[in-house]
Amino acid sequence: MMAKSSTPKRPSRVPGAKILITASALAATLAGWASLTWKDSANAAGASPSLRSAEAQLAAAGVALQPLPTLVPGLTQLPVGVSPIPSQGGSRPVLRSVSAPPAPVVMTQSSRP
Amino acid sequence: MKSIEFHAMGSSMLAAVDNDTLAAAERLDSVPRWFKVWESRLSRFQPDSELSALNRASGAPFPVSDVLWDALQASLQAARFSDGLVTPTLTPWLEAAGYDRSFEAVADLGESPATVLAPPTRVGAELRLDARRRCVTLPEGSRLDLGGTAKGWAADRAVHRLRSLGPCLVDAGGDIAVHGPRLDGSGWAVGISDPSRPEESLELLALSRGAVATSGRDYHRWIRQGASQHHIIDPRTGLPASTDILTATVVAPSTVEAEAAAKVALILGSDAALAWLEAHPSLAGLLVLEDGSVRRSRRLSRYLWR
Repeated sequence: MMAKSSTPKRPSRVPGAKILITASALAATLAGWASLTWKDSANAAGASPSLRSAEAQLAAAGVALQPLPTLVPGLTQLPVGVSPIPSQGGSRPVLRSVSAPPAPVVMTQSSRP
Repeated sequence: MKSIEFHAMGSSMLAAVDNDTLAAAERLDSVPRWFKVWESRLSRFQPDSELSALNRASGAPFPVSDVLWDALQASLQAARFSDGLVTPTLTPWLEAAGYDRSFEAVADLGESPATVLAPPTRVGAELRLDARRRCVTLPEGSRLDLGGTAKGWAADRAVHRLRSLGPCLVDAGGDIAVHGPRLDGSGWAVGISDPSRPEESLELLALSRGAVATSGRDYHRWIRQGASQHHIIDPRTGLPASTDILTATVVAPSTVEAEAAAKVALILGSDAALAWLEAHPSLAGLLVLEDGSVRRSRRLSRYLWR
């Protein structure tokens, strides 16, 4: 009688652990985002009262703060049909279609034979 | 465009229609005949004209044709419009200035004696018109000259007859009537002649309706006893108008009005003429002065070619 060699079967607990880990990570991530969001709103509401007060005082005094310098040029208001590209030397001729006046059909003049 | 040129009323004429059909050509061919009939009725220089017969019958009622009646009405309308400065009753004063023959025959009258007449006293008030019987009664010894008014009337009448063909223009010796813009939508190009260089234009007008006329002492002038004479009589003096204007061109709703207004401007002189033109909203004018300068009324810009 041959002895059966038997390998004890491991209980299948791996999928459960994976689910547990994933759920825990997701929960931690969501909790972190919620915490950060709550902190931002709290800062915005109460962290800079002095700055908002200064802006209000300037506005009341009619002082407008200039925009901060930037590498991106601001938009320029140009009339429709005007090229934003500067002409070379400012003397580039503008071509227009101009029709020459016609020869008169008749002339008015004092009476003559 | 079809056109025809001919000679009538002592001047060069042109009629044009913006229509290339055979009917337009046939109608244009009849225009010289219209003018011949009108001239035979309205000329002071043709002894057998109806106007000459009327002048010979002064003092008695004279039945007139529809043509003479209508032209006389136009002449009286011009007299009212011009406050009497343009009137058909100045024949004796025209003749006294030497204009006793057609323009072609007026020459240097040299030392021929000048006739001095007293100024007219009741300009235009002497005519008696019977509309029902179409009769005209001239005062004894009075004679009419319809002059430029007859040409203006003829231009207006010819355009009226041509306009059923479409846009048209009639040039009666410089008095020009227009009906409608041309088929391409533009006005009729009419040059205002420079009196010092008549082939060149001082301005180019674009006329879609109405009329333009020029009156001047640049061409028809003559010397009598050393003095320059011309045919534009100032009824306030009975003499050729003393004026700084050489030619006056006026745009108006009709050729009769344009012709009369040009004469008024010339008689008044440049300062008063411009004020008079500005006071009449239907008129615009250009004045060429004796010194060669040019003055324009403000409304002339409405009619310039652009």
